[in-house]
Amino acid sequence: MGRTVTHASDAIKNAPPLAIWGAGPYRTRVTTETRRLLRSARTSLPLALGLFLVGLVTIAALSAPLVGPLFAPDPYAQVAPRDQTPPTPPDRDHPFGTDAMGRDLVSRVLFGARLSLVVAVGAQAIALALGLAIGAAAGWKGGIVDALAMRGADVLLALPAPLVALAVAAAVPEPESVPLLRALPIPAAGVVLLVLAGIGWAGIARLVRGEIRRLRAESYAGAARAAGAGPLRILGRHLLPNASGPILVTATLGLGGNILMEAWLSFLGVGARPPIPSWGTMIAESQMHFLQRPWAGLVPGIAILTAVLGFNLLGDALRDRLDPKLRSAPV
Amino acid sequence: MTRGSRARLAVAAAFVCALPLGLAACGSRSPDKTAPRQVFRFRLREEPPTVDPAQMTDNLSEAIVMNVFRGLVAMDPESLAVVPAVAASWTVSPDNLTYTFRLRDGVTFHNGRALEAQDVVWSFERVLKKETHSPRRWLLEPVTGALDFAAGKASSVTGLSTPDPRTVVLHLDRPFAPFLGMLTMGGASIVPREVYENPEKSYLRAPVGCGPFKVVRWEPSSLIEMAAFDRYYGGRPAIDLVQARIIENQVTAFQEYRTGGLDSLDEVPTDLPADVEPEVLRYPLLGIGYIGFNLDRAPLKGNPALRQAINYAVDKEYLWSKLLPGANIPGRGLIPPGIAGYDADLPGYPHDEAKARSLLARAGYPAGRGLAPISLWFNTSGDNRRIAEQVQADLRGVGVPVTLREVDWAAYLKAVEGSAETAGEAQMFRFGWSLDYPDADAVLRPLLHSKNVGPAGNYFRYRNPAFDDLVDRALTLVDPAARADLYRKAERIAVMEDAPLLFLNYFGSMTLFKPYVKGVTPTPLGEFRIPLERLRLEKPAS
Repeated sequence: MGRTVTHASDAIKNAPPLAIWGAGPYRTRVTTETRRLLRSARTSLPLALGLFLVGLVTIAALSAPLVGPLFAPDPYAQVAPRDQTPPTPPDRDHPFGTDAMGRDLVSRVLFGARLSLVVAVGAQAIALALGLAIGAAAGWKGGIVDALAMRGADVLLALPAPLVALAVAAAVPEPESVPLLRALPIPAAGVVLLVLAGIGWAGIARLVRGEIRRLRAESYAGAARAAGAGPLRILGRHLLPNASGPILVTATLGLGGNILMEAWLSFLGVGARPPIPSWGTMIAESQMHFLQRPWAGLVPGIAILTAVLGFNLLGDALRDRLDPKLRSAPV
Repeated sequence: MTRGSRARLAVAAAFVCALPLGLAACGSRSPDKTAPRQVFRFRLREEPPTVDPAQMTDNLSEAIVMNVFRGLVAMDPESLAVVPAVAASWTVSPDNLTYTFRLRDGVTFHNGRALEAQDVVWSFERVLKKETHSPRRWLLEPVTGALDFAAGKASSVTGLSTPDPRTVVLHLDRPFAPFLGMLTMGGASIVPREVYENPEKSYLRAPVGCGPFKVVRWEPSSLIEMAAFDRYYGGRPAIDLVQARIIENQVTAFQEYRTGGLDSLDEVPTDLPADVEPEVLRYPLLGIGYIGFNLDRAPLKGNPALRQAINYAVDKEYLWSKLLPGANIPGRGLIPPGIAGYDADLPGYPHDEAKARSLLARAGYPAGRGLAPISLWFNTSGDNRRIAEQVQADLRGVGVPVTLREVDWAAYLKAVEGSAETAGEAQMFRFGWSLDYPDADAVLRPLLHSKNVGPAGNYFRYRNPAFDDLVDRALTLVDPAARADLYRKAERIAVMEDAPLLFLNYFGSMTLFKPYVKGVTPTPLGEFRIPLERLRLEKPAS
């Protein structure tokens, strides 16, 4: 313990696999790991593609207020000429065409990326916080705390997540009239965010609990305890950092699932309501024209594909890199 | 020969007739004529539930009944005025209680027997009789003594008499303006006693009337054939044979129409091929689509300028010609075209953003400043969401913020109807209204009379004594022109002054007709009331 790792190759060469994560000061570890990851992206196609697609979606989401106005004043403006029946086909002014209401699809798909990412990342952040807290408490304390927390998680995991999400989201028919949600820019999306967080914590908690139970038996945990460290310090400084690999992988993979779920709920009409640009509502609205004029459905469909594929590739690649058991040789 | 093979033969015959070359072959069945037989084939979605006029309540049955039977009077398909049918003329007593019908000479039933006044009495009594269980009994209940007869307390209807074989007299308990119009309905058809007394009810498959066509063949679930009746009092129809082909599947039916197996189709597919587009006949039906305003809730309450601004802001023309092209006609008012009282000169609210903005300013919300979002409710059905989104977008264009509330039917009704005392939650709501009978009263009274505020139909909670007075007075008059005048005045007050709703559309219907079908009379009564006796086919000669 206490050995400072200054270079990734040193860590790989010198450290026993399990000790890498808990080894050095946190900051150094993260930067070296990130650097190592980016370097390995050069040789790993899935990782490179995953990073690229996630980057693309992120840039799309961030640039929506800048790029969107080049095509339409806002994602709600009907820009199709009024002498044509929408959806109008792609042309120079509207490279993706317009949707069934004559609204520019570039603008809508960009703002849809914002909504998708905010809901997916927001939900995952809450799920992660809940999962870490509950899982760590259960793993550390054991006994009744463990039993209660894990049976709760089991119940949640036993139910099919999409149905639970659909039921809960549909049970709030008027998100606009719920005081807490009314403050949000898009109350209905807030419902979806909370529902996804409420489902997502269980898997993370179970994972964290298992890792903590395994790691607390490690000698360095015992050493820290012998040195007088309290439970919070041992968990925060030694155990959780050591468990962060699998947690990060699960959280990343979950982002893709969240994006898909948000789109699915909106598609069914319980997520974001029209005219809010959500990829799911966009596909729902395109259905009746899909056979003759498919672009209004293809554009958000490809956007969902991009985002979900990106997060899945990134998650998988992260697992390959970060799970010491899977890592065959230093890259 | 089995029934099935006969049915197949019938279909095969229909195909043969579709070919110009095949016409001669079909014509060979009536060798006395040199001209090819004119066969008109239309589609029925399902088998008509009944062809007994006394039992008929639906439009599929009408497709047969209204061609086989006639009543004392009929409704003109275009003007919807009451016109002579079996009765050549009629007089109404000054107290509006006694109707005297003079029967036409030479009216013959399909079985060859001449129609007499006694047949009218017997047909009406049949509808009233308890054993008939007719859902149309109410048509004749205004006649004096009808209720006693129906209850079995009297052996005849006192208000129904025949001074001579060519005259029928109907006496009413009290003046009732819509009575003559009710006699045009299928339920008041005249049937021959000797056929309809038959306990074996052969008339259920072989109806006998005195209309322009007689049923000559009925293949269950496949085909009903009606031949022109030579001795029809209005003159033999130009069409020799009408085939009602029963085809349930819409896609199959459209394929039949395209390949020439049908001359007309009642259901037009949404993605219509461009070459079929010219064959679509669009015509108004008796109904209106609208977005209602809740006049008991701010900010629409007591602010006609705001309601007019909303009306001007919505581009109805674009909505129905581009966004949702179909049969609907951009709306201007309440009384749909085709009804006495329809006002062709009513300006309504053509799309005009400048006017909308200035009215909005006059309403106290210049450019929408200070206006909280107005809730627009709609139920999950059909094009409602797109209509609501379009209205939302148009209103946003002038600065009126709208939030959409999509709910299921039960929740929707609750939010819209409210009760007689308290207003529903919805501020704006998407709805439509189909008229129960072709009369302006059937739209103005249920929707806007102050007595009907709440679940009775006036969801807008519109209360205007001047409007109520005009509508009430119109019902006591018998002179159609005077009534229409009052309805026009009432409509102008509601539409142009108070604007208790956003006038979206008049209902319309679409029917396909092959270009060689001539003499098609579109009628607001519906696709199956287009009079077949006026049709003729001008197929290119073989």
